[in-house]
Amino acid sequence: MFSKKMLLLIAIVFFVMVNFIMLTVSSKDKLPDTGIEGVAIALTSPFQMAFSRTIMAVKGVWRGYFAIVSAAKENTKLKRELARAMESLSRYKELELENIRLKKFIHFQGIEEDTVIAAKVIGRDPSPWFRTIMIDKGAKDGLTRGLPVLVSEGIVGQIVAVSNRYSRVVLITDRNSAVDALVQTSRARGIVKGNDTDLCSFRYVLRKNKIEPGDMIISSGLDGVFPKGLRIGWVVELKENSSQLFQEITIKTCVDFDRLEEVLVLIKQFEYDQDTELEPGQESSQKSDQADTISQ
Amino acid sequence: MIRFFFYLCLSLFFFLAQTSNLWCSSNQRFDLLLVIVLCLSLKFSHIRILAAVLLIGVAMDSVSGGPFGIYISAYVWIYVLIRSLKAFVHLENMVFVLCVGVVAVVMENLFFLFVLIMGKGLDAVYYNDLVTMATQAALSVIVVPLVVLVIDLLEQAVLLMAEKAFQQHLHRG
Repeated sequence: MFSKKMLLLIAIVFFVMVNFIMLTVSSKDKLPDTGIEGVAIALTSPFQMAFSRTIMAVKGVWRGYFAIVSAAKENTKLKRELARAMESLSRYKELELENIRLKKFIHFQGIEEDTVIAAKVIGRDPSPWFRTIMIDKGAKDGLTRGLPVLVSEGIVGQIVAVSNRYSRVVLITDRNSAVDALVQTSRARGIVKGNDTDLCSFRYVLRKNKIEPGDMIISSGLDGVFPKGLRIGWVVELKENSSQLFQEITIKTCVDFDRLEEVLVLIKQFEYDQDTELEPGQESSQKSDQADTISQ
Repeated sequence: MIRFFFYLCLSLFFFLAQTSNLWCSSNQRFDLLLVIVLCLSLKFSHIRILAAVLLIGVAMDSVSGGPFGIYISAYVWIYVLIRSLKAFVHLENMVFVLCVGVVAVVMENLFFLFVLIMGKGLDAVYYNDLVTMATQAALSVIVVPLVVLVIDLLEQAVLLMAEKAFQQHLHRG
């Protein structure tokens, strides 16, 4: 009935259709988890970890050698800075004690110190189209999908996939990432969205809000993922279009993602959300309300 | 067998180098495993190569933030394309390697674009993505023929060394 060529053509068309349907379903995250990805991660990640650790060790020796050369100069400078820091520290201790007293005074239900898990970056996304990293901590260490990932400089991203010993983190610069944020000085609210470049967009900020280049953007805590007050980046460019409701703001992230070696995963925040029966958004807004009350 | 180990080690090295902190900027990443797929498809005719291509795809998909299957699809289609073209064009032709390299890179990037549009809609595609695609295609003009050449030279050197070692072993025997 059909010639060989015809059958081949039908087979190719069928294969193409199946392939593209599978990719479409997979891109919408509706494909059931088959476990192949987990097995593949478990097989490839140990190699990545060994390779990253070797590189880090070599880097450490290299940096160590050059560090000794400049250590003498730095030592004198640091001693001066330490003296100044000690002076500030004593002032801050006083302020902390005062803060505790005031919190008690207005019956503030303090949030426990957030528990963090330190993890090493063992791999990066091979493609320039997606911004993710792999870390060497997983479900065995108590990590789950959705946990926030930070460094001392600011927000890094959020865990999107967890295997036994490894996790994948989507960076805030990825196009799939969004963080509810506000401007530290003017308190104008918006959403920080990844652009798949080193810069992010700060969207949905009303034109009436005065924002200037250099303004610091911090997390608002209203997304129920990132705690309030964490640094995200600073404004580098803003465009005001009179025909639009919102401003076009570009921000530079505080974290240098190309030099990321270690990160912290915040786990306490998540547990707190689970324990309470409130919705994450509700809970976060309560926290921010309390914090705002304190600041007032 | 030696060639199998050679390509296995090379693939592992490229995979680790590509996903480690060695690369300075995330914008300048070039898929080196794609060159391995090109080499395998160009040099070998056996259908078992398809299994190797699939394995490379699975490994890449496991570390990528993209939807699972995107690298597998891209690599398999590149393999199919080269296999069908092999009958018409001479293998040693560097112009052919260059053209195939550019086509393969564009194909892979089109797959990324496709899943992006399917997953997030047209709004998720930025001008920067087209720049990335153009940069990758431009890079492939230099990188693909160069890496293919280096791999070819390395492979020849490894085979020569293996042959010498084998002959020495025979003499001793």
